Amino acid sequence: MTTELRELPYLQETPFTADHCLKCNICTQACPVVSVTDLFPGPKTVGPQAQRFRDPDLPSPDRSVEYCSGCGICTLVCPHGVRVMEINAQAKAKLAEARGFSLRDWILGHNAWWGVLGTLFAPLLNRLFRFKPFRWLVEKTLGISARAAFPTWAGYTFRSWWRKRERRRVVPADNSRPVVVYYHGCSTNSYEPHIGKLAVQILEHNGFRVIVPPQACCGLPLQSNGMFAEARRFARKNVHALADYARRGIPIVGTASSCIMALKSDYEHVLGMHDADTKALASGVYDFCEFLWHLHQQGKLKTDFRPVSAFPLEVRALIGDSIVPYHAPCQLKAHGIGRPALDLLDLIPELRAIEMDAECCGIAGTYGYKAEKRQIAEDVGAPLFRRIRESGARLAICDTETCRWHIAQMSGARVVHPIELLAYAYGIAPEQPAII
Amino acid sequence: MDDLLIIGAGWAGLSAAAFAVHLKPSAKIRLIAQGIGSPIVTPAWLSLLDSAQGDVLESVRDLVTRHPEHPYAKAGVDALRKAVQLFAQIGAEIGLGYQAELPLRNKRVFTALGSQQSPAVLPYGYQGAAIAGAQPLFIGFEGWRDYYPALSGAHFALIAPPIGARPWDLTPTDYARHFDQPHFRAEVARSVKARLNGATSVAFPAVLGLEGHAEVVKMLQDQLGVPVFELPTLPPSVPGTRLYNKLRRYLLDRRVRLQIGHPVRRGVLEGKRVLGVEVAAAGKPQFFGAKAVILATGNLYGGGLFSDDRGRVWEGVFGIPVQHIADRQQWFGVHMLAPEGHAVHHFGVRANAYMQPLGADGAPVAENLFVAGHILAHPMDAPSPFETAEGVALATAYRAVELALMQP
Ligand code: SF4
Ligand code: SF4
Repeated sequence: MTTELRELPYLQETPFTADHCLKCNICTQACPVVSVTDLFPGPKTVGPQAQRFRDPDLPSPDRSVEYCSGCGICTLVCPHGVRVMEINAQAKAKLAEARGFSLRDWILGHNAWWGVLGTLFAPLLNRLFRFKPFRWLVEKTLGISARAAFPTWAGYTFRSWWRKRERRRVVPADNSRPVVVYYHGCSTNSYEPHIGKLAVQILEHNGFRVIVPPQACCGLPLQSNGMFAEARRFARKNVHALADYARRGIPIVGTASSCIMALKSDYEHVLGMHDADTKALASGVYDFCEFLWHLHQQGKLKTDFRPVSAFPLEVRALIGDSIVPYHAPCQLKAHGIGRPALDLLDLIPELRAIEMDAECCGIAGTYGYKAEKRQIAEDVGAPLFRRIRESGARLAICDTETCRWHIAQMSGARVVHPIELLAYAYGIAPEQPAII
Repeated sequence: MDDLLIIGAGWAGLSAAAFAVHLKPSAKIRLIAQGIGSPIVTPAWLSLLDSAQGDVLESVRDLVTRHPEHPYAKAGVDALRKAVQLFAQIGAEIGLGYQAELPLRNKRVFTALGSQQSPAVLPYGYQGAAIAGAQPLFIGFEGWRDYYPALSGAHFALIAPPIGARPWDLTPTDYARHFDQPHFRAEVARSVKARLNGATSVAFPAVLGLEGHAEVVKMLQDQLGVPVFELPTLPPSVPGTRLYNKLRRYLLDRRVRLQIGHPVRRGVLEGKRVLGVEVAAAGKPQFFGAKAVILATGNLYGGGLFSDDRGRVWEGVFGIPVQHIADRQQWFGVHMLAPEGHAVHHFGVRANAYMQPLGADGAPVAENLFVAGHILAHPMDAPSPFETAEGVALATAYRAVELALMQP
């Protein structure tokens, strides 16, 4: 009778968790946005409190919720199980539904398309997006901040590399190996294919056969911009494409913690998809480091890690004698898996990775790309950037892409995915890019 | 596998983690909690035995002779002393100025409602109360509903806080963040100085800085020329938030894994050993293995115990039997703020002298499972658990850590 009794099923659905709220304001004092702006009254007010005035059939009465970045810290710190961030996300969608969304939000929400389309014009776009007058124009016309760090298009996609690699395969795939599905996400596909390659190579190094079935954007950018209907379409595509693997016990592993969090939790708790397939998928996806750490706990992870002194010179130079600051992104914290990246990095001889005491870097997906929220995004992350600078570190680690770009821009450090350090330790370099 | 897994981020859980890094710096420690824990709703001073006159530890010694089942008796007075001293040492290290010189004596502090309390160990902000003199001036902020200084004392002043348009109600934390800004506190100092009028000290609600607390108090004292001290506010408590924030940094720097946000849903046992715990994580439960586990999830208020409308009371992770009264009529006394507290505050799990919680058969639930803090039962006739609140949390945490770290 220990756990069943605490999980009252009728209070588990996001909107009803508001009934657990004691109005203690613990979430308000922890909210990183509240701490830097007067424009946002805080999670308690726009979440469980405003929830009492939100009639499912009427438009939402309150617009300040638009300033919620969706970082999810409120949900984590609430001692009473209120899903504050999820309540806010649903309220934002309600607002977007009633008032329509701006062209800017529509563009940011459809990041999945721009990644693939932009690949075709990569050299041109990469130059354009670093051309200040152009960015100024984009800010003035669309409201996309000229200060925000834009990724560069790699010029080829992870999927194209993968297809080519499969075609060129001389030795047939070893069918006796356990299979893992790799979920790459949009960013790895278009901007950082090297992370996808390393993921594949590390999994293969550990004896797996990797497959990359068709998959869609996780839908998170749409979801956080309030476009739930379309986000659900993406979500359903993924459920359709991947749930069956989960059912068959084939792990689905992803390198983008926020996308994986969408599959694990948001589809159900934000988008309200309660069907069995969605649940099956949720229980079968793993963050990349979570998966490797599980392997390690079962004694199945290869730990032939080289010490930092055997890393390539340019990486060693970045690390120097310093600690390597690790930032656990909000979305990773929301997994409830601990800090598997740190646990793994601790296995690398001579590496001293230390978790930074920072709730949020500020960018929160597309939030920090919005001109009117840019200052907030920079101020929220300021303590983190300061700590990284003070540590003297020139290399830092973070699991999600937008956070990495933001932290790198604001702190001056080079910020890598934990997988990149694991790869150095394994002595694995990304296979050469395929020419399209 | 971790050497030590602590469940709960309240006074007991957080200090257990801090004690553990001191007692065994090489240990792998993980702390898992559903949300931010109790310090943030307490004044963040240490109540050891508020009614004690003279040497507090002597009075605790008397208490444990009279109540051999009291959590203090399980932990031992020695553990209390060591715990309080180590806590103060860490509290000073993280810049909060906790002081615990022996012999420990209760101090006088003021409350926002004009009464006095007598905790034994104070962080920096409350220490000035001891030298408040005959005429403390109580300062409040115009338009702030959380604190009204006329309730605190006869000499009070309301000042206009130097902040622009305030679209929403401010929380204590908002004020504390403002005080961290030099221009804000300089403005406040100027307004208060004009109102001093012979005051022997100045009391503020406990919002004097979040990050730079000591600096803020010192600056105000220098400017005003009299002692400055704080009064606890409505929650969330700024002194509690300071403690939580600084301890968090302290623990992360010492490689403790802090996982706030997902509750432990059950313990995993094999025979008489705990293998680890299962966390209600996103998507699927997550297992965390450990050599020893400290259960510090708190009582009915803290989230460690649960009850229902039939008067049943149970422990939520291991299903440990709870010492309680079945008749709900007897849970509460007549007066809400009665100093002796209420029967319900005494409910908890029973433990042996090794801080191991006891099952229905009176034997330890598991050899490597320990309990700390207010999940422990207090004898029904013992003083209100609030009188010994932080003392019990710290002493039992210390003892539990000592024993847990001895696990193979
Ligand atoms: S949502 Fe949770 S943390 Fe926020 S006020 Fe309510 S109970 Fe407190
Ligand atoms: S999700 Fe983040 S920004 Fe939004 S209310 Fe919660 S803590 Fe604040």
